[in-house]
Amino acid sequence: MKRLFLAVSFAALLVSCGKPISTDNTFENPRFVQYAGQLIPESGTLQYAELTESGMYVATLPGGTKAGPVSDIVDYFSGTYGVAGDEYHLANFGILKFANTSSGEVDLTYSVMGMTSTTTVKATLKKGAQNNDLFRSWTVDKTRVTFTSGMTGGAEFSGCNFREIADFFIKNGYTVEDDIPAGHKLSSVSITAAGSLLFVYSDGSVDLGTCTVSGSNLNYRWNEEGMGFSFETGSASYAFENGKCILALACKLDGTTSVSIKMVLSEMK
Amino acid sequence: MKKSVILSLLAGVLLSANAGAQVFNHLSLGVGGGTDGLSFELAAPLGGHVQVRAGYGTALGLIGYTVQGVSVPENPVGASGTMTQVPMKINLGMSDARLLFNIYPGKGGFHFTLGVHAGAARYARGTLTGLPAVYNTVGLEMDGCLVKANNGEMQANLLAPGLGSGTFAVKPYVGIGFGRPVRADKRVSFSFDLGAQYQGKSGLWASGEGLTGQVKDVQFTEKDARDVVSAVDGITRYLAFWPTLNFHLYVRLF
Repeated sequence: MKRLFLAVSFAALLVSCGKPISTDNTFENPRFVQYAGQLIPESGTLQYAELTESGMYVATLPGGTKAGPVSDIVDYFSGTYGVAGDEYHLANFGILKFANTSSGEVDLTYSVMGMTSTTTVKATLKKGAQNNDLFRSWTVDKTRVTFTSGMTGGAEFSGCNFREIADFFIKNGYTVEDDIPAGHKLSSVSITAAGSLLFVYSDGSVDLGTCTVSGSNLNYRWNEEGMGFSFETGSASYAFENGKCILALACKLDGTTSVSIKMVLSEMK
Repeated sequence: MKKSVILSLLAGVLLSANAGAQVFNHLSLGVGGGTDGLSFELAAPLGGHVQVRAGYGTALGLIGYTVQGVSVPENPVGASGTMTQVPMKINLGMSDARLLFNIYPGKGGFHFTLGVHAGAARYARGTLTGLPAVYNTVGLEMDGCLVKANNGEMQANLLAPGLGSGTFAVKPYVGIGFGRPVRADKRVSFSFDLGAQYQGKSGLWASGEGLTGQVKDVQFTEKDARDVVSAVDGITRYLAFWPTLNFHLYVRLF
């Protein structure tokens, strides 16, 4: 009995245990995934419209056509949309009607709020393969800015406010050429299977670009030169971690210092 | 190396088996201290020439040393690249179980000891002190985790796994000593030991927060914290074999 007691005592002294970190990276299909697609009308006032997988839209009209955020050449509109049969009600913009089945040419009828006529034109519908959890709309929980030199230093910000980040760069001795308006806070990021990248800001402004996914990399290009920021390089990477998406934009400061802006994204419901 | 340790332990057990009787017929409880921390042990004879000791030891961080002049950037996110030097306090921090065999070639107290320490890979706590205030709000990023200072102090740990891996260490021990933990003729006895644990290459680790909020231990690497790693390597390269010097006092329970 004594020997058994001793053997158990000795064994107990050598035991240890560990606990694995939970990683839940499963995503349900976005609720509007079957309606997602990009429309490019052949003619008419509407230049472009895209319905995202998560129920966001972006549409463009020639500058000054409709009251709203005005740029020199193109006005960008964004918001949520609802579906009623073949009709798509774009909040604060108008109505699109078309057969949303597969990529190809469709008859598109649309009316824009504040404009009296209803227009029917031929349009090209592009629907991408829904093969990546990345293709949906996201909100930004927080942003981490990481500098790599002799040490890898990082700072975190709540949400993503590019003005705040630019001020941080400047405060720490870097030059930033962009004149970023105050309150230029990112409200949502949408990446679509049709190949669009959409940044919507709290002041209603929109940056729209095209993007391609290659492995864990997202290469993007803004539609207009004035979109985005001079420190962005057009390259990003993404990964999923604990039910979040980490989107890391590669940046360059003063032409030499490599900086990564990592956004922690939560799925927009 | 693993095979050598196992064979050595087996040899100890075989020696005791050859001795025939006097196996686990007494039990002593010991307490002691040394460069492997404060510890308690249970000890029993395995024949006339071998005694087995099993115990647990931990260091409370009471003993330490301050390394001066560890270079860190004045601002880890700054453009200037200016460096500053801060002290690093290093305190003993091991916490492990040990199974040791004292082998007595003669009738006296002189013995050889073979065995193993197993448990946490941490053997020392390190604290970078006097860091510039910016370290309280920005941090060092390692393996995707941000390690920050608190009131100008950044806590880290020196880990060495020996033959183990990651944070679990298996450190073979070889040494000599004097004294018998179990003496049939006396209630109280002592043992003095001098030896070394093989603990291999050390790494500096700290607790960092990942992007999605999970906290985990991450290692300072050459890529992410070159100057700190270089300063620590300058010290720990001499510590692949941890010098172990301790003294134990035993009371025979039966």
